[in-house]
Amino acid sequence: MTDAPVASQVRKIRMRPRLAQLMAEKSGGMYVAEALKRADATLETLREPSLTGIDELIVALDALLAAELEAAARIEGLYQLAANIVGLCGAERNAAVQVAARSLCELLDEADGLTPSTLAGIKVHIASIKLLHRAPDNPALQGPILQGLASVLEKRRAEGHGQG
Amino acid sequence: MQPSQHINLEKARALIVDDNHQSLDLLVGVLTSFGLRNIIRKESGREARDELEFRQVDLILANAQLPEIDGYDLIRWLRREADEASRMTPAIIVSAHTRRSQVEKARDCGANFIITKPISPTVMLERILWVARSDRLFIETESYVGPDRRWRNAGPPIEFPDGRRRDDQSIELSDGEGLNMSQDELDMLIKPLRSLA
Repeated sequence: MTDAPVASQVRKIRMRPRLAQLMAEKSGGMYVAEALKRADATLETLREPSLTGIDELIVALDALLAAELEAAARIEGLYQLAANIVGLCGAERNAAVQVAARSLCELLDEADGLTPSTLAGIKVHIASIKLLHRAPDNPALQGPILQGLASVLEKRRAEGHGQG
Repeated sequence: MQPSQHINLEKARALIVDDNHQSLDLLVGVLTSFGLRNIIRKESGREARDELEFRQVDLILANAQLPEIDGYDLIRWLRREADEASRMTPAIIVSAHTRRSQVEKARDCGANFIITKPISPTVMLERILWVARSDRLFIETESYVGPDRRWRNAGPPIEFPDGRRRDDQSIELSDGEGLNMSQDELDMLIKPLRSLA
């Protein structure tokens, strides 16, 4: 006779974070509306430094794309730069930079080496980010650019499936 | 979260980890605006782990991508190996993009939330209020250690009132693909397997 397998142990503990007690203190603090207003004002002061940061990241993207490094290192470096753009692009007046930078992250995350097709896709993404960066919000102009990037990603995925 | 809700983060201590100094500035700026005064800044997962080994904090915000020890591994270590006083510390991962290879790691690391960049003050504050709630269960199993991931009792976050995320598949059924099965084939599928009875 064999013993039935022992069910894995599950331990449940009621969480009592100190944060809850501290936040409930009545003396001091502020209302949510005030906190959000102050945060928006803070982000506004950080807008220009963030946009300058994106300027620098775009320059770094171009430099890394042209660098003589092995493909895996370039892909990794480009991915990090694109991810850093996503992190700063809350400062942009349009959401299109975020979409384009995230699309570049997708492309690089799924890239299996720097094939001519992948390189072309990366270049199109970088060119689009340059066009969209610091631009006012204009869906009529930004829509076709983002649709183009979506097509590039879709095409690259289809090629990847074909090779797989 | 209501505009008239009162919050007090003045006595809380937060650990913020991001290897990009501008992202770190943004996170610290937002948290300072919420009234947090005691913020410890670190630029790597290893530095953050060293900090957590000798100092207790009330909230952790860690970027997913970090050199050496990434944000997921940091929180996994916290939940499983940190001392008893720190293990259940509310922890939020901030991520610009989740690599396909890291989706499961992100899901299972034990973070209370994963927030996508760029940072939105509203989302950030909602999440902080959420993780501060003291009515959640902390689960320990062989494969997962962290806050209860089920929403059944607490309900989903406020921006997903129907429990669906923006990138979930449509609830509408599409047309079927391929040929329909015949009634005989369907009958065969649900027929009791007598040979095993």
